[in-house]
Amino acid sequence: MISPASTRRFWETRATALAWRINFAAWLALAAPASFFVASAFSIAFYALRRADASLATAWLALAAALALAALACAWRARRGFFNAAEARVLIESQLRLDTRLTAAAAGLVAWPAASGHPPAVVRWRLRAAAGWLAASVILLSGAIYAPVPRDAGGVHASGPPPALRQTESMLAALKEMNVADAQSVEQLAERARELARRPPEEQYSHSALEAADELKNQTAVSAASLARGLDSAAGALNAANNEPDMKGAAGRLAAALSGLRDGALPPNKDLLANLPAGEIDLKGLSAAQRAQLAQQLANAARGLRGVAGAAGAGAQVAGPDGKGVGAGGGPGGGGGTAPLSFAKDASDAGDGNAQALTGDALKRFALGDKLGTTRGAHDVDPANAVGPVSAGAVAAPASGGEAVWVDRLTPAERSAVKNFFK
Amino acid sequence: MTPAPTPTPPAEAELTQAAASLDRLVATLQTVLFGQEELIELVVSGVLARGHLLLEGLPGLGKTELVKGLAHALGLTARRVQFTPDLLPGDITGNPVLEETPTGRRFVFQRGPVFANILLADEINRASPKTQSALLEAMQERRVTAGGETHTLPDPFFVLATQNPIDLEGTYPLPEAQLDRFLFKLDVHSNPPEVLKRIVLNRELGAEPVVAPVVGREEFTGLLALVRRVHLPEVVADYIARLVHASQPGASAASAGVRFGASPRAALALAAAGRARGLRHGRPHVSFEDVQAVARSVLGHRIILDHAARLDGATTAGVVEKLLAEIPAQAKPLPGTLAAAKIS
Repeated sequence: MISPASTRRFWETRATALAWRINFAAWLALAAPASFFVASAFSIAFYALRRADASLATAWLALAAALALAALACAWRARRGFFNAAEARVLIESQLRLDTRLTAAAAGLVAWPAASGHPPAVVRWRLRAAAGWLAASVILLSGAIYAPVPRDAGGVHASGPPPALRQTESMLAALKEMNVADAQSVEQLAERARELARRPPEEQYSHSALEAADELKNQTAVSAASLARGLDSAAGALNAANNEPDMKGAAGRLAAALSGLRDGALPPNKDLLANLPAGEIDLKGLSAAQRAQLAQQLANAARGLRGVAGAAGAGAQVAGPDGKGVGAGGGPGGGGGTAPLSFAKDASDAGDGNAQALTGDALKRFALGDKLGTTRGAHDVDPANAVGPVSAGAVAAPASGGEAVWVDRLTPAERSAVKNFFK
Repeated sequence: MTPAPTPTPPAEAELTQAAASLDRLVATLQTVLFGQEELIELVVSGVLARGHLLLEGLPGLGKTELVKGLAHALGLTARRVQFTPDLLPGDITGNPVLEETPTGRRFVFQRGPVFANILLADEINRASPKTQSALLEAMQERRVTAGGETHTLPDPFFVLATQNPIDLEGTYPLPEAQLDRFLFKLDVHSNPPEVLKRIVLNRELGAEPVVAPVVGREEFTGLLALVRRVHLPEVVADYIARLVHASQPGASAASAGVRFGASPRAALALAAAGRARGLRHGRPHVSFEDVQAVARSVLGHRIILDHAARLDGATTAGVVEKLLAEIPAQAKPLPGTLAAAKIS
């Protein structure tokens, strides 16, 4: 027979154990989401420390301290929901339908109920949410600890200026060394490059700085290519002069080439311009050998310039005036082969003053300020047919009082309204 | 204010004797009304709690027979009043009558049928509100005031009223104040075929069952005193308080649609009925199960729903069921990581 003391002990032990279980569950209900927030913060810290190659030992200690603090705070906050043994006893007797006999027995009113070996559990765990929080915490921390860290991510630590700027500087150095282009224009481009290079290293790799460097590189390359094209044109005119008896056509082409060179974004060296024949008389003043030598020098200079432009990967497809296209002239981005002269589908030499169709793709090869071609002409106006300016809303004929006035010229707004009406 | 002295809980011998007496009473009532064991248990509990009972059911279900059988079984005086629309308050409480005496004429109070241990108010909702109100003082204070004089009613005094839920014409629904004075409102349900067969075999139309007194008046008075000594644990009192409070509008999810919740008198009624049920089951204390068993009958007629809830088909019985499901016995809710296990 079981003694009353042992039955009492049995139920009190059960009640105390249940109270502990409930209190742990109340603490866990708060601690699980709290651990997630702590883990989130420390995951960021761990990852940042790993990227900075710093030691994690202190961070681990801080994490342990933070978790301990969070656990204490959760216990403090959950304490109002904690059960004592008497409250747990009420839960047991209500769940087991003991007719409040445990409470009455504790008050000494009735005997303690018989202790069964294994009374059914009065509560069951609902750990899905808590387990989710804890699992998410572990996953976050694991990710922060084991995820690979990109060493060169961001490019902030890259040494030196951006590649585009370096290429621009090398192009400008080459232009200076060649002494073909106007020194002042080259200096202007160099000043812009220096301005970009003066920026702090972390700003040089910002989006806007990279874009500016690219733009400057392209502009320099295109300008050099344009200058090369002008020199080629002049060389072509000089070679043509040797084959023409009167040299008139060659003189015209030479004049057009010189005009294009002067008006280009990167004009040639002033001494070079001064040495070139300015007109038909100067052209005739040179011997055939001198013209050929001069053309050869210009072609060499143009080749060198194309090499400079091609080194930047731009201007490689700029064709020569002979219509056969020219090579890129070397350099890593210079490309190989030739480019067609024509911007249209069928190649044709439009000649001075003639219109030539440009495809949309062709326009990309020209920089702002490049002159594609010039023509001379005058307005062809027939004074007999000129009616002079006519204002909208003019009446067909003057009217005296009471007569209808017909308006035969409408303002654009009126015309639009009438159009809409008859639509 | 000093707390009320705690009465000595009933001893084991007293409980055994009370259980035997109540078993006899219940057994006798079961010979009067077949197949309504739960109703009989509630009626006995209600009477033990000194409460007035309102029985609602269709005609012919044995409501009146049960009340008369109870009166006979307890050896108490019982009067029956058939409530009608023209019934006057004086017809129940009594009237002062001018009487010729040797010393001259004087008014003598002629006692009405209310002066009995058990007043059977048959079809109480057929009387006018004025007549119904005449019962208010009698039910609450167990006395009658007429002609400036106050007359104490016999002890014990119970009003056992019946009403028919289907006839609406010519009826006056009991006002809330009157309803609140009834400890229980009990629904009398129709009988299944096997019970009907027992009735047909054991009864004859027009012949009333003979019921002998099984619990003497003194014994019954002793039982009433014993009920008051049944211990109400603080945890159960707390449960009653939370249950009644939760019936107030907005106090719980279960009270959605409630316009007026249960009154403090409902809490007292729950405690008293719980004590009576505890004694009926031979316990010196009230249990959570006692409170839950009587909660439907105690709270159902004390909760008033709003119109929208009624249109939505909500019932007070449904609200009480939700309250019982929502309010746990323990004062604190379980944390979200635990749930109460379902124990069959």
